[in-house]
Amino acid sequence: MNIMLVLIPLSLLLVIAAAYAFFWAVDNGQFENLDTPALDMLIDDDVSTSGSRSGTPTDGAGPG
Amino acid sequence: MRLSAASACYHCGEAIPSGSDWHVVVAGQTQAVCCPGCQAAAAWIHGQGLGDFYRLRCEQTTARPEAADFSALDRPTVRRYYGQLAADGSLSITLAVQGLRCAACGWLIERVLGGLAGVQRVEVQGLTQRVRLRFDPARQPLSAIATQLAALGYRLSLIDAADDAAQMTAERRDALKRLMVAALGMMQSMTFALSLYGGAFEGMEDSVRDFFRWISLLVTAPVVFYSSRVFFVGCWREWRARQLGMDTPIATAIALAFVASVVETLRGGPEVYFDSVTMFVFLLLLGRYAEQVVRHRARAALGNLTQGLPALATRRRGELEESVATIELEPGDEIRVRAGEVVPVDGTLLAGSSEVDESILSGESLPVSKRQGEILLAGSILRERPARLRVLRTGSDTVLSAIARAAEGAQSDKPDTLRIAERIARHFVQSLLLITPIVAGIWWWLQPDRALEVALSMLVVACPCALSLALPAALAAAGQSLSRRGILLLRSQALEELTRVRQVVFDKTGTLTQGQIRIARVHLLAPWTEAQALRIARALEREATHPIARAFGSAADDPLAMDLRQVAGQGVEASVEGCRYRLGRADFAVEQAPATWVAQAADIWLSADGRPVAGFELSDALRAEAPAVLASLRQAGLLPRILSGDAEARVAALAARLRIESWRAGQRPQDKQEQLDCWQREAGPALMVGDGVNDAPVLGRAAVAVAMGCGADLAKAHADLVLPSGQLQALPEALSTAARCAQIIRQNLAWAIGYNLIAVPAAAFGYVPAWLGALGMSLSSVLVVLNSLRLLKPAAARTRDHASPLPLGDEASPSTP
Repeated sequence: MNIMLVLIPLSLLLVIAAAYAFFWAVDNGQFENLDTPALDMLIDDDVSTSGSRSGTPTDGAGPG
Repeated sequence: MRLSAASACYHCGEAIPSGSDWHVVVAGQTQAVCCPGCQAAAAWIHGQGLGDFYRLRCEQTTARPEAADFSALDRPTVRRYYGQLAADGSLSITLAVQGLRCAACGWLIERVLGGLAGVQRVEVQGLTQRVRLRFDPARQPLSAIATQLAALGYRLSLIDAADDAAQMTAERRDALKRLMVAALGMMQSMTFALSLYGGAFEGMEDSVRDFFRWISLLVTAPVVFYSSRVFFVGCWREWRARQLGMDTPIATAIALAFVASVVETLRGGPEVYFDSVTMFVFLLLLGRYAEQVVRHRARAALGNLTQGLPALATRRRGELEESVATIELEPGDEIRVRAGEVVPVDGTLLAGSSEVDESILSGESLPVSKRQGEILLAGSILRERPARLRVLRTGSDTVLSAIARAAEGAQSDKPDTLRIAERIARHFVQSLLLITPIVAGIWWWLQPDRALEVALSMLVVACPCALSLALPAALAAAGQSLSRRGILLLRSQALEELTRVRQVVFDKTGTLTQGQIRIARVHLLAPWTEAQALRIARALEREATHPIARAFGSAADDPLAMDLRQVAGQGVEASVEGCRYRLGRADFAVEQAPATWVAQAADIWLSADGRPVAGFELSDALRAEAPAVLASLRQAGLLPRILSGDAEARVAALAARLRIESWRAGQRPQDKQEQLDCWQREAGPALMVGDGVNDAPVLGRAAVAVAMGCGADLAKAHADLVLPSGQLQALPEALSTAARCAQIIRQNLAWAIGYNLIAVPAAAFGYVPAWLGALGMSLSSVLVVLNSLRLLKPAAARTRDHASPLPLGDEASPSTP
């Protein structure tokens, strides 16, 4: 039973860490746009370079 | 559908004007665009490797790009007024971007602006259609950013610091944090509660039990003191205003259950309720958060009213003209407004006369003529000549601002049922607080050792949690469910009124039709088949781009037309397969139309070698979903009606096609209002569906007003519901959601009241052990929330549940006669 005296405070510390992380995320606007990140993973990321996307109509990255 | 896709601009989605020939070659395919601006925008987007935007966006959101001069945005006054300057020299600014509705737009804007030099941070807020930017004005002037967005076809305006955008963001973030703390506290305290329940049955040492209780107290404290602060603050406000509302019973319940648990922990009593407290707070906050999201979205939509004003104006000093920010204008300044521009402030016309479009203000779609000395209002659009104005009122003093404020105020009305539920909960808490001491006193007299326990279990059992969750949970779920299907609920009161509506009044243009011409009927005169006539007509119209030509479309096996000759405003003539055909107005196609023809309602005719062959009757295409929507409305016992400003013949034809018996045509806005009042008097409350600006006043008169998405902003301000997607199908869905919401509210209330009626007396007589009371309280809340969540079920599953697609009539509102 004594292990409880260690584990429970430990879990509370974890909760506090989670709450802190969440507060940080909220204050940084991580929850302002929940739709766009869902698209990001569907798209190959070659944005900053100037070149065009070498022709193919759609690169098979579509949602369907 | 294929036709409209081919004739709409690839970038902005607007119809491509006839005779225009702009194309853009992207990804190996040629796409038609309407103007060089769209061509440049599409080419640029693809050139940047952002072409996925076109595939991923769910609706046409970009407008036609417009060239504009944004240089005045770099003035220091603009910077000071709209932005916040950080210590490192970076500037934070909020832009309202029209058309920022779907995820793909957010993605595009993030990529485009994020890729600019000097831009440090781009934060797209999909909810409020706003973009928060932090950038280094020395490296990237604001005007360049604005130009970039405008070149893509986004219309933008600046949000000043005093706007409630910042406040809304802060509110939302605050609510999210409270919700999260409550969720974490709930999870933790439930873990410990489970151990405690286990210990209660299996046996647990008192020291271990007390340790668990103290830990539970520790995790519950932030939930009560941080997350629930909103309820305590609300309660305090209600007490100070001497007006008890919903926060009082909620705050009382939280405080009582928490204090009781602390007392029990201290004295080592039989039961603690920390898990019930945290769960109750979490569920309440969840409901409030959902409601807040819906409300903020609606408020942001309305915010666009005043955002429509230009941020820049041209000020005249003597003969000198300079571009300044609108906020720099002061009463008495002289400004010049170019034709086609929006008037930025209220001002008197200094010279000459001017035609202005005041539709955003008055709903009058026809231009109004103003003379020297008359006042031009901010938000109206100058039609013809440029005008010189003496500034009269600026900023929040303008008439437009006042209208926007009034529209915003109208949103905060609470539905009647919510008020009733609040009253019930209030009386309930009041009488409970009165009865409990009496019961405790009696027990003290009979059996002093059980008095405290009974009093506590009574308070806990009767905690009005279920009662206070019954309505907000259902309303929040209904609002969410509607917005998931593209319906924006601006006033939650409308949900209730929707269940009372007896008739649906449509404004014809745009609400029932698509605004695209198609062939309604073919009259055959020669021994021809319809297919033959259409085949020839298609061949003749193939090269043409005007709307009528599009009605014929094209097919793979069409013959080739030779010697094509187009006569503007008349028709087209060509040889097909050895025969000379003419297609066009009657007097063009056949030199002398027989008298019998005139009677026929065909709009254009086809002739072969001068002999009449066929007549085509054209009509504006019905929205594909219109007949089905009308059918389900009728099934729900609603009377469809048309109240239109269009010509009688057109309205009559439309009404006949949709079997609508009751209609009025050629109505002016004033007539519409009177007619609607009259109809509402004789047939009960009406649901009015409008889209035109001229519908704004009449929308205000209807019991429930629905504005289609394409409509003017003020029409939306008067509306209770907005269908941004413009899909009529949403209408029966809104009605059935409202009906289901009313039904679920009744179930929730019945359950909450029934539960309390049984549980409170049982507790008073000492039959409810404390743990059962805690369990009952938690379960009753959960049940109410789960019941409300049924509203979120997708529409398809719901229609299958019911025999009729629209479960309105019998099982719906109590108020239907």
